[in-house]
Amino acid sequence: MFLQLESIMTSELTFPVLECFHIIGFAMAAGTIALVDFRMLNLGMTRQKAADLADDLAPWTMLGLGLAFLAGGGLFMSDPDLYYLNHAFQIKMVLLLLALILHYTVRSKAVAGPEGSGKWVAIISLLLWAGIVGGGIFIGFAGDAA
Amino acid sequence: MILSLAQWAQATPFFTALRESWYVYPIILSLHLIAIALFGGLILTTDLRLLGLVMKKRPVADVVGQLRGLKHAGFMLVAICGILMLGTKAEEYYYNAFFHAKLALFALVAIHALVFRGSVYSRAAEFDAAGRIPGIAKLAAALSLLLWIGIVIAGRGIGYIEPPLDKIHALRAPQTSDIAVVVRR
Repeated sequence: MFLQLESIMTSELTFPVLECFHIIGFAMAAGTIALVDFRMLNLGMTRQKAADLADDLAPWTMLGLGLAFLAGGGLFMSDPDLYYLNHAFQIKMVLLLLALILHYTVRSKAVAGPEGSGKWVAIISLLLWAGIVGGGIFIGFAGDAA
Repeated sequence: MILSLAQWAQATPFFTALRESWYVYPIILSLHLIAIALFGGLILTTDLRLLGLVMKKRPVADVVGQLRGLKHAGFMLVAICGILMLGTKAEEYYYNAFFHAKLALFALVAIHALVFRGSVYSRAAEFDAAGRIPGIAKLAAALSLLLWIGIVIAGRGIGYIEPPLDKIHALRAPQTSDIAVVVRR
């Protein structure tokens, strides 16, 4: 019976549980990033400065990113070849790299910059993170290239 | 009654077209998750503020009040995408235990709103004036986080239940998502 339980844990439950952690993690990260982007676009939280908002939310963005990375790494390890060859996954990784570079360079400067200056950066950031989520969904639909 | 409604809905030309297109369904699912990220981040920020874990220097009323409009917009987008997906496979959803769990959790969210809107969310300015957040507000925030996390889990679970093929009457074309599931296993 113990063996049975163990096999369920490793084969059937691991993947969906990791998926749930991945979703909660990226919701946390992309949600808090989007909130700062909305602020830069003057669409919400306008009583705060963008820089203050970004500082306040940064630990939760990091926590979400960490969770999404760890769970996402686990999902990838379940079948590396399938992911590696999947076009949606490849596009997702390129977008992720671009989003992270933007986040820690151009965007962090724009957040601290004068009011209303970072609108294009905010729009690009929102589009990149939306593309990353969409890329993740299409992994399951695109099939593998092999 | 509900079953025949479900069968009728997914047989309409609109939902049939959605189901049979290989890319429209994943696009709606993507929008659903993008909106979840957005909406989830707003719920998280609101609830963490009530728990005193984020934006502590900002008044609670400021945070809760400013996020309300965005939260409603996010929820509308999540719900519209969700209903579109429900329509494409309504008959399968009728038998899906995780979908039942998700509906039950939504009922609890509605009860949560009825109970706590008056006693917590519309009284945020009083907490600022008093300089402390009462226990009931922290309870409301913690329950809200648990409920929404539960809804995410139930939502993800829906895709893992095989439809009872002996009970499904509506014709269902094979889908690329079916192949993906087989490949993954």
